[in-house]
Amino acid sequence: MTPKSENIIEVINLKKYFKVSLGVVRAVDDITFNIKYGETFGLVGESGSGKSTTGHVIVGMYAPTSGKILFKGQDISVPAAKRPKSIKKDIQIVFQDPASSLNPSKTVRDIIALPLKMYSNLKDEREIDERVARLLEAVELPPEDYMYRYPRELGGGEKQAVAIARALATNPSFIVLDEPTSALDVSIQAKIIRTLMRLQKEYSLSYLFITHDLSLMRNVANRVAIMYLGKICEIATADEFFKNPLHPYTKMLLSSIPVLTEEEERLKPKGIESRGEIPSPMNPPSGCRFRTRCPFVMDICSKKEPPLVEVEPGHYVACHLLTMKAIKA
Amino acid sequence: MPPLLEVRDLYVSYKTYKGILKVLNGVNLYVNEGEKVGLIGESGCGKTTTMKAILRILPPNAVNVRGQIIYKGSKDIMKMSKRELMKIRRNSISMIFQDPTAALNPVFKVGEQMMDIIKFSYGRRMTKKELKEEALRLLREVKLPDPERVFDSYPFQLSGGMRQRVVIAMALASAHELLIADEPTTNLDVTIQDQILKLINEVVVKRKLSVILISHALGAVRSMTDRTYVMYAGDIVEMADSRNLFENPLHPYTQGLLSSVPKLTGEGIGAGIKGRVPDYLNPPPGCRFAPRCDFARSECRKSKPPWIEVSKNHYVSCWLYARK
Amino acid sequence: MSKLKLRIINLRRKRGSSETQKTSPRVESLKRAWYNFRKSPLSLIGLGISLFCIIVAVFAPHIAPYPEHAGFYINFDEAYQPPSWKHPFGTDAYGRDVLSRVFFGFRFSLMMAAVVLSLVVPPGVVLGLIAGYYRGTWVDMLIMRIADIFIAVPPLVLALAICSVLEPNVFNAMMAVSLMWWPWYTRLVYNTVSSIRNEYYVIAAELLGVSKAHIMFKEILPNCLGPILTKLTLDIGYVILIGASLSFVGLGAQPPTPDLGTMVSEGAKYLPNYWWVAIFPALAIAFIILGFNLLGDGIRDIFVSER
Repeated sequence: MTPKSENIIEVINLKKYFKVSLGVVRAVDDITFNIKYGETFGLVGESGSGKSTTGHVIVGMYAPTSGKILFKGQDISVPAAKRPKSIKKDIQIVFQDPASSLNPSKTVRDIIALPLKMYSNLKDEREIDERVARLLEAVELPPEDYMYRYPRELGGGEKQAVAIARALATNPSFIVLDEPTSALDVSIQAKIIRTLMRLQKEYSLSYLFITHDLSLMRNVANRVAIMYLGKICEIATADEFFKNPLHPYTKMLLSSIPVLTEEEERLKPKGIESRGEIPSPMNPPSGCRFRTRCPFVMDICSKKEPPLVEVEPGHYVACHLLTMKAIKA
Repeated sequence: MPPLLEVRDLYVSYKTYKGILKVLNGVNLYVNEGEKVGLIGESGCGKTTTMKAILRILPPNAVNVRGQIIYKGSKDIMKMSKRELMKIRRNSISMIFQDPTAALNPVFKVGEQMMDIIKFSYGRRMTKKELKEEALRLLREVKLPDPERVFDSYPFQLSGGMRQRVVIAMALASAHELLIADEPTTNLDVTIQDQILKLINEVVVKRKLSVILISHALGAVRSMTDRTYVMYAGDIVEMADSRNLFENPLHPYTQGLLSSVPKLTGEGIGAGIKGRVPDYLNPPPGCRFAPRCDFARSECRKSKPPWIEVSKNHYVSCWLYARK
Repeated sequence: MSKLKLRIINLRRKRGSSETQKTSPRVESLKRAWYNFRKSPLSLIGLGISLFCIIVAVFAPHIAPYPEHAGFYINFDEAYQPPSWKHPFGTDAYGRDVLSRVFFGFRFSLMMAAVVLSLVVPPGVVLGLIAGYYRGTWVDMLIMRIADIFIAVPPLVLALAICSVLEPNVFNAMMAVSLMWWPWYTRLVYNTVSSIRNEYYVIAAELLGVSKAHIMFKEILPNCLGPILTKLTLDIGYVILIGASLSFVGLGAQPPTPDLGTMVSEGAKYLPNYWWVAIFPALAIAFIILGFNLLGDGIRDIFVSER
């Protein structure tokens, strides 16, 4: 069946607000973006940016406060419980904290068997064992060694590998990866990322890759969107994003990352340093949310929210300064 | 001039239900006065254990602790009396831990905790007014925008970055010679991490402190330290001037580690390092990295490699460099 | 998947997952639990005492020197004998051997504890699971406020009230105690579940569309066992105490049932002359409660070290 559009996921004016005792947290506040079939779409941002919440809403942990999410053309703007089974199995998530992702009282085999029992037609326990073993092999964990272990016996990287195997069990076409390697050592991160890239090719997967690590993003994403306090500031291809960052926040973030070599040092934007604290998502600044930390702030920034504008082909920015520059050019 | 702190042949093991974990395997390192030293290595390699051994705050199940920790060329911290140890903790060495939330007592205001520490560290009788002034002075030193308000706040009312600044301020109250920073920025946002690291740098330079910086943020270690040690499974495997180490790693583990770090240039992700970290119950005899090393030879599996100077101030513990 | 590989996998199910691990994962868990348990000598003492009491209770008819004295028996010639080789704990007003009656007293007390706890724990835990899972909704409110009402009344007082209204016998006493007890388990489980409920593995199961019952009983409940088992063990002692207290005031077991509380009550009249009639049963009560309390501490240690 040929897909109607080239987008597996379309997010349209998505908002997600949370009511807490002290007020309303506007975690995601009107964002719009698409993810193409087979691509790795990166979502980057710091704490309070709403990147994780975006992933959680897409996967069905919550219903959106408003806005739409389309999956393969179908409207799935409801929590997972209300989605049809065929959709539920097609979208999966790998969470950030490996320690909390796996049930400590179950063995690896039982953890992976659960989705199999729900979604595959396998009834015989031996058949399930075989499938579990094959999934473990796919994530490079020898089944003879890992099937009957408990999560507490596993290292962080191994736990994440099990979480990935569990996500693959339902044969999904789209996986949300929520900071999958943030809690891991760098050498183990490398292994997990390689596994994810290989699996993407083998199983024709599309990824929403959420992380705060820009250097990692540079090497995994095809396109990148950066979020700040619930809004998208910039969307571009990975190349464009890193070689030609336009939004002041993007530049600030890029200039703050620690790098290892002189070569990388030269690639970082100069002349813009990190300053100020991140405001609370309950009370974001009026107009452009970044204005309290922006070195180029103008009058209009406090009055009007900047719209996301395509200032160059495929390169979108939400910034009054840059919109004006583009109009002049 | 002797180093400010010298750790010699430190061995530490932990007792668990499975048996004895032989973690530290003869660690040697030193810090000179006014020097900033980095310590890198992955989780479980023993960095925090080493630091805890220096301050003698190892958990109760630490056993078989032997070695020497020489302070200022004369006294051995391992042999110090409680009194002398208190004096060191009060006036000389201080430690910042990874999680600022865990370092602060949630039921006391920041100001009270700071005054507590100042009272303990400064050793002389101070009035409440003096204590408060000193606390505010320290809070200002760590560039907190509204020291009075922070003084009057509970930890939960502050953001992660602010809490870490408070923790640094507290450490400064008793760090007059050496500051040990164990992953001071790991739980913080990237832009805040940058600010905190720059702050630590400033404070250290201004007060002429020596620092041991442990961090996963290898880039931070590279830019902030003079010299860096690399640790693997309880062994120090390499040491060099920081710029040198990151541009020119010699030990196969260091090479594997640095190649795994994603580069901003977009060259792709390294292959990682094959295998698992060793089991401390039955650590490999000889070089502990040998089972995972592409270049391992028979002698690597038999005996622990010597500490070899390969070039100026660049040392490796690896048989590959022994012949030369 | 080769046949050989499948055979190896099956082997690992029983034998454990690697060269270094010779035993199955369940056995490893038990080994670890035992190691954490025996760290404290008091826990071992508790274990010893508890096991002793249980064995005595189970085998009372066989090991008591005078099993017939446990029930209706009268021999005034032998009455009020002080402790001797023949009667290590002496005899009581009816000539019954106190030692044998104490053994049967253990039996009775432990039986009562077993009955009460099996009536109390399942509903209490289930309600706590449901309330914790649906935390923040009306289900939570309903269950927990009802639990609060029951908790507000002191157990002994309510038990006394119920027993004085109804016929005073063991059955009513146990019912009264059970009615008071269940909310403590509900609260305990509620708190544990509240912290587990938002862990990613629970969310992952929910996203799969697994039934709520499965999530509560198969995903969450196994991780609550620690606090439940600890409380259960400590409660054995507490239930015995309450039971004995009820009997002491005449509202529980009636004579000639060899209940420890009843024995103390009867024997109290004869203090201080024939002290053994009351003192030994009283010491027995203290002994069995001490044992289970120490054991409960040890069990708590197992689960605390899990972190």
